[in-house]
Amino acid sequence: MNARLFIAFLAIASCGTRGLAHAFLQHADPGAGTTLRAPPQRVALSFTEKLEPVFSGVSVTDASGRNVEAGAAVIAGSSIVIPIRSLMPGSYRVSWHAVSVDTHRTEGAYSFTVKP
Amino acid sequence: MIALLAAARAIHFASLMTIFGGSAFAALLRRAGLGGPPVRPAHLLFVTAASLAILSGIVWFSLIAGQMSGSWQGSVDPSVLRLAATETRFGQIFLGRFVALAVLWMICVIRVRPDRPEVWNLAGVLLASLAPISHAAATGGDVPIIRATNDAVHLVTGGFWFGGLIVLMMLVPAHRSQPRGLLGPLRLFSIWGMFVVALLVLTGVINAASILPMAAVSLRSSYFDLLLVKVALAAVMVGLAALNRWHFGPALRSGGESATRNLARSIGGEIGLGMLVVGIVGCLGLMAPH
Repeated sequence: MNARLFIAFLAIASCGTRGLAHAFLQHADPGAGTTLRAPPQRVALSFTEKLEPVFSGVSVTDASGRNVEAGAAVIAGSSIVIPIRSLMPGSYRVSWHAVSVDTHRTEGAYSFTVKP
Repeated sequence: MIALLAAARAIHFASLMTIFGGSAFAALLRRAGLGGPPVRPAHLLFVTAASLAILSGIVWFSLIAGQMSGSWQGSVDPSVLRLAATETRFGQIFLGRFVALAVLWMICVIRVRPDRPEVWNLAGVLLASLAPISHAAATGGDVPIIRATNDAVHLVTGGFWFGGLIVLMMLVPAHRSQPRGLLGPLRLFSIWGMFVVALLVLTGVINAASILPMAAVSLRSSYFDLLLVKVALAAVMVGLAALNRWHFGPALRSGGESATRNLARSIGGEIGLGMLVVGIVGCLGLMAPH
């Protein structure tokens, strides 16, 4: 173990675990920047931490900013799944916000494309 | 607003640590037949700390509700506050904590002796109840229960150290003319202090062992820099504690006001550093390590 890593070890040892939990996007389906041949039926996001459903959410919009969700998002554990309408070819934007159970809020957005 | 939230967290931690550690050490003093802190100042200290714990708890809860909603205006929006209180783990735990805080405040106000078990038990539970809303609670599986327990022990032992120091400091004025009278309390605190610091390090190491991979990728963040400052401050605190135990303590035997004064300065320095450490904890809890 090198010196810097050892210092990091001591640092974390003294701080306990508070402050280390922010829900970051771990996996997305469709993935960020992907190009799909067949339109997806839903968008599924998986986060690094458990989520607070009432303060977490996702929206999916087309190139003109219109929402394309087909229903409410289902938020359970550390994942958010939202059904979407049958998509036309084009670019779509997924915008999410997530609050982990230790109250930290994160948000982000990415795009995917449906090929003609 | 972030600064206010960090301050509220730090004040909340410090208040409960003062009551828990102060009360627990006062109980140990009484059990050992070494008297206790002066009644009126101790009463004033505990009532002030309990009041601050309630006020800082309200500010903490309100600002977190706003933060969760994505807008600080949510902190004063009744619908957001209601959602946060009833639909989130943080809110549900805080509702229970507010009831316990109110009980603790009443116990302190009605002049129950500061060393009574109900005081340090309740303050200890209130400190430990912050663990389930820490990082330990945010990850899945069975490990979070162990982490939360570990975190609770970390908080409670830290509280004993901080609050115990304050009560130790309160004993000094009464012993200016008879410094030898401080030997017993100092020795008692040192014995428990060694046990407490060992537990603090152990619980910290367990935390580190579980999240070291995360730390390894975060060495260049401001979070890590602040952690280093905290570690340095804690290390100086341990140094001062050793100085009290093996240098200023024995010097009390020879008597003299300078011995008492030196000890008081050292304990005061330790308390000041402890406040800085708690202040840093208030900030760290709001920062991401990445």
